[in-house]
Amino acid sequence: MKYATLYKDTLLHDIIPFWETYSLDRKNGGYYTCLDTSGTIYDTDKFIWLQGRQAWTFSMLYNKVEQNEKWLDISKNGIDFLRKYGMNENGDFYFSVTNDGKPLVNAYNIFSDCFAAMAFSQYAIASGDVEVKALAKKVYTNILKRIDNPKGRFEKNMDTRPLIGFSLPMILSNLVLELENVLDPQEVEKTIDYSVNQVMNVFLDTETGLIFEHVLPNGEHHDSFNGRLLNPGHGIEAMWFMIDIGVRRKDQDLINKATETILHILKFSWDEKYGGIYYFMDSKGYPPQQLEWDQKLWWVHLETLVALSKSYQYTQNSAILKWYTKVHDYAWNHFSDPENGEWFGYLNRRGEVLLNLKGGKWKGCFHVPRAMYQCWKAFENIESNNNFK
Amino acid sequence: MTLKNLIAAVYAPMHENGSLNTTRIKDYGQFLLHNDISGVFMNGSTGDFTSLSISERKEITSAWSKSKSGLYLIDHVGDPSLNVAKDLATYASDKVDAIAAIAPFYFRLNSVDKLVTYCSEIAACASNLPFYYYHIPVLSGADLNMVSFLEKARNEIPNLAGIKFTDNNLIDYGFCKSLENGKYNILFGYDELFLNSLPLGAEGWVGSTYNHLAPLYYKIKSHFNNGDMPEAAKLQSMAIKFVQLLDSKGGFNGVAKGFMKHLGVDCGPSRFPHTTLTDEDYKVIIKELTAIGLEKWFNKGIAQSVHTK
Repeated sequence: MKYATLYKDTLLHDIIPFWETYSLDRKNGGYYTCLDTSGTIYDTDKFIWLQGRQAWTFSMLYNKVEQNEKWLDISKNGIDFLRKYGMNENGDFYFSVTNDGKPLVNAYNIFSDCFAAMAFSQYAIASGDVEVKALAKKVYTNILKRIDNPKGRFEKNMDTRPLIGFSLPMILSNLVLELENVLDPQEVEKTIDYSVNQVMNVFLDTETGLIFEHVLPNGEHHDSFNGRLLNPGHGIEAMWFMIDIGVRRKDQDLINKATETILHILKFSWDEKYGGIYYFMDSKGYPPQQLEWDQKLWWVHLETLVALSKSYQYTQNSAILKWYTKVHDYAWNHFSDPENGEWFGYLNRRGEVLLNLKGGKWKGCFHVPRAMYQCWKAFENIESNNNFK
Repeated sequence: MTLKNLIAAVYAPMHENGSLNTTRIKDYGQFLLHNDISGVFMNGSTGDFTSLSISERKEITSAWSKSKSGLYLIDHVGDPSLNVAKDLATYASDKVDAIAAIAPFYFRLNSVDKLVTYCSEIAACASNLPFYYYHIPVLSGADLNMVSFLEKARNEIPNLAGIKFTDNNLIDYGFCKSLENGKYNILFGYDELFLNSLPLGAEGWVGSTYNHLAPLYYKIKSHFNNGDMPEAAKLQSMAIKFVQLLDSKGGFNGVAKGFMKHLGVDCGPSRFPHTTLTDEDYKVIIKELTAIGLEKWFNKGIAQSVHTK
């Protein structure tokens, strides 16, 4: 149980204690997420994505690892904050608020709502709170209403080039399973159908086997910055959502297709010179628009490890295992920080720590613990198989 | 802002030579958060305010304020000299989340009217902050009825938030809690009667043993909520044994402060009249505490939980 033990121990004795120790705001509720290398708070603003994600994480641990009252209480600290300060007058979630809950940035970003819904749903399972359960459903319904125009009045793009984004169908494929306990079974199946179709038929390019970040509504590509954009981490993360759906539907074809796609994306986006997976790429090899394109990000590598471990669990594909070892070694050698706890988030192309932080505006208590948990469970299964060495 | 759950009455960390060591405060705060503590009550009886100078009390206030954590900060500013108390309240007004004041304890107060006058002058110096009266009649000698205090003080202290209630008069406590439908936050301060405060609806507690045994108190609460009273009572009696055992080694205040080092936060020695023991003494104490099953309820040090290379 080499890998299973490593992921489990790191989750329970490194990652979770880090957030339990440095992030809790017992005064105002919610969590501080801007934490430097050793856990000191360097900015006090609260980003709703990360409030929802941390509340989700602690309820998930309570539901899946151990019914530890402390975890439930830590989750509630965020749930109460989100309910009290997270929403504007329409019930849409702000992007950010001050530490005591005054709104800073309005609800232009629908992912705030997605993570709030995930948090409410997990917390409702953990606590049995029916009000929070009803709220989870309400937020979900609200997300679906906004799906064709997620930014609403904050959309700055004109209609000239109507590219559609991959993020929302991708997150829906995970959100709907997260919310299974609050939604009607028909609704769940309908949304799964929609998101699998979008991910595997619209955004997955048959020619290259890569996932594009934006396409035209009919699935065609557009030769422009956004139309050529690849976000390898996103594509790979979506593939483990597809594998989860494949397992649920006993759809081995979907699992195999996702596995192939993971291999295509990794081959295309691995930095052969310095190691690691690029953050953004241009499908035609032109200079990408994003200046941070060649950085190595923690979540890209962790989501890849989850995808590879799940893929291996259900396919025993040897190419997947090879990649697994490669990404595992890179990630643990570059991102982890056992001395201070948690993982660094941002490395430069050469793999050196770029920002001395464990949390910030976009990095909180989410990808690291979720990946630790997912890899722990996948390898528990894989390593219990005697053929695995 | 909410002020509830366990609030630790914090020690004043000191160097080996007995001078103040505020560099420990940041780690101390993280240790408390790590153990699910929601706030700190600084410069109180546990914090040895009676043996600190005015500037040392301010130094502590400033250090907690600068430590910037998610803890709710209550600063105790009471003093036998009303002028000193007002000075401390003014100093604290832009640094903490609430202030509290004990009654003057040399020329002791014998009327609620006098107490209200004293409190209202202090509260006015930090009118932007919630004010708590620190009721501890055994030490302050102000053995006054707290409902009468609230009824009078509410008209004269606009920022009156409640009482830190350290007394075993649960009848008075219950009346204070229910006044005006629970408008006032009555923080219970008698750790040994934690369980007894639960049926009266207590939601916030301030005490010194939350520095050491927070998991034990959370467990008592959970047993109480599940209706398992015998188990809750058993754990409460363990909390009492903890206090008795440390007390028997030379006085609870000093011995419990020195014990912090063995939980991972070195608070240093105690000042006179409290006792300072040696590491050898604590080896014996820990052995005795372990023998009665208390070790598993200790607060966890950060280094203990965060795994290192």
